[in-house]
Amino acid sequence: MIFESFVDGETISVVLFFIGVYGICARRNILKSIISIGIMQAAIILFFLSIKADPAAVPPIGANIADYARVADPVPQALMITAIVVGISVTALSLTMFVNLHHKYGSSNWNKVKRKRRDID
Amino acid sequence: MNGTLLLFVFLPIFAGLFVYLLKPAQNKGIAVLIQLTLVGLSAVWCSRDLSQAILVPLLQIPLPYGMALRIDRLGAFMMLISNLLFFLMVVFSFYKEYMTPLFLAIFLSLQGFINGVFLSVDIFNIYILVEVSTISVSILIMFKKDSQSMYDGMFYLMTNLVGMAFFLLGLGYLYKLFGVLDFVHLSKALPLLADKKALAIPFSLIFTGISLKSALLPLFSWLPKAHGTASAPSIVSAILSGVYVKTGVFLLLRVHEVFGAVIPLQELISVFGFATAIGGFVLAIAQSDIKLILAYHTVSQVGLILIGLGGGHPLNPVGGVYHILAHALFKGLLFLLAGVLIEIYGTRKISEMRGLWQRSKFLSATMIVAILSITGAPFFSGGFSKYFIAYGHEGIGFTVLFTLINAGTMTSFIKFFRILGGKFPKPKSAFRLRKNQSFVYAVMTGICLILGIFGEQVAAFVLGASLSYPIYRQAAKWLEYLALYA
Repeated sequence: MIFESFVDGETISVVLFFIGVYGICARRNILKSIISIGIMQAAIILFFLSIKADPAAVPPIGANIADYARVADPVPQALMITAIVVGISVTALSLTMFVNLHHKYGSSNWNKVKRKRRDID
Repeated sequence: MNGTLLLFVFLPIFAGLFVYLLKPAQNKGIAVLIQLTLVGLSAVWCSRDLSQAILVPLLQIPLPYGMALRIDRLGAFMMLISNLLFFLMVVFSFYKEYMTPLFLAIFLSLQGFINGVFLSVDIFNIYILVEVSTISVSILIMFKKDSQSMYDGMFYLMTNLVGMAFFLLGLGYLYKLFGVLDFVHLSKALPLLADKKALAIPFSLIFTGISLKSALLPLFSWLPKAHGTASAPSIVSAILSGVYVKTGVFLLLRVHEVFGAVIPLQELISVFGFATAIGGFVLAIAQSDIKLILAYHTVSQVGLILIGLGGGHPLNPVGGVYHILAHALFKGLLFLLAGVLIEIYGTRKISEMRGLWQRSKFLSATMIVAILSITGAPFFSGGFSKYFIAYGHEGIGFTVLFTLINAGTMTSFIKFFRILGGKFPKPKSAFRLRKNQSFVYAVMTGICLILGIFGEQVAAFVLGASLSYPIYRQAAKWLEYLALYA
């Protein structure tokens, strides 16, 4: 039962976040680094949405929301829509850069790319 | 007047879009005009009384739920630096072939984002602005699209994205605890928190993100790659080192304002400052690429700024903030010089550059002023700020540390003095300094001198602080040095 009390949005998102950090530290593939950053961003979105989540709350829509005792907090959702948009554009940019990089160096490994860069120098 | 704050953010961004979409014939003229307007406006804001921060609401709803812009003394000061440097850079590269509408669009919008960071009152807005400016910077780094810059830009983008992810998770914890994200309410709510230990996680996450942005000791490996990259135009390097790194320092100051009442930060910042300052110059000595030397020195100088900010004497933080201005100008000047030197000699190896004095007296004089500024000689900008950074640090330990840092800076700049002497080699390409470039060099050299000689007046104008380090004392410092080494 103690285990089940840990399974909520916050804990899972923190675990996911550090899975992303592990992916960046441990993997040398550029594509996997981009995916790891994607995982970190997804974890943050889950975190924001679950911190103030309350199943009993009603959505803050309509004229008579003052009648309800619990109204959901709209701020995290608003923030996360922005963060999702930024995240998507950042991922798209990284992938575009990766394609260009791969054309230049012919490798998707950070170490090999670094070595080739030094050779040009 | 309050409405003009919006111009700082929107004018450059819209001008960039306008230039890119319509491609008018006078695009560079438009850019220069906008830069002049912004420099003038920020000077006006600096001269106003900002001892109380001014809030400019953007919505009808008041702050915890609405949005606002806030300007205070520090914000106005940082905006003056950034707009002044952007103005000089646009003038400097007026005739360069890389000043295409696309470059101008990205460059100008970067200016808007940086100004936005200085005006934000909300941490989430800061996150968005920093993230977007990271994108523009990485595009600017790889603008010429040659082989080295692809790796540098990619590496820069990845590390900074990870850093900002930590920052955002920290924001999440803050929001969970307080339900607000603006500085005004956060600094009111923080001391009321019963369980102070709950702040440890959000603070460490946010601090990690900011340390990466401001390139503190363990997290600076991205900076030399990004700032010293061989292929980025020298004005991009100058902006990155002069202004963009300082946004990290600025965020550190903002975090200090919010968390400082609860978590004692002074000593932490001071320790990081010393470590970064020493680490930076040790790595700089080992380099032979002229741009890399300058890039590693940016790390070292950020450390010096932090030493000032973390100092115990009330004058130390003022000195640190003044050093932000001094560093922005002399490092910008050094990067511009490096760009021209690379063009003249056709190499980036500093050991192959000889005989600059024979080639151009003007460039040599400019370089001497820049070097004396960065090494902290009296009468020059760096000397004035470093005097106050070191002010009140008593004891043998601090003396040794400061001597070490200064000696290290001088050692690595001896290489620059060797450029002056010797015989000028057969020129690989005919290079001629244009009038606009000479103008920028002259202005920046002049400002470096003014910041040193009239430092008291400048500090009173831009910071509203009274610093006392008169000229005769600076002259006495010179005599002391001479007596010491004679």
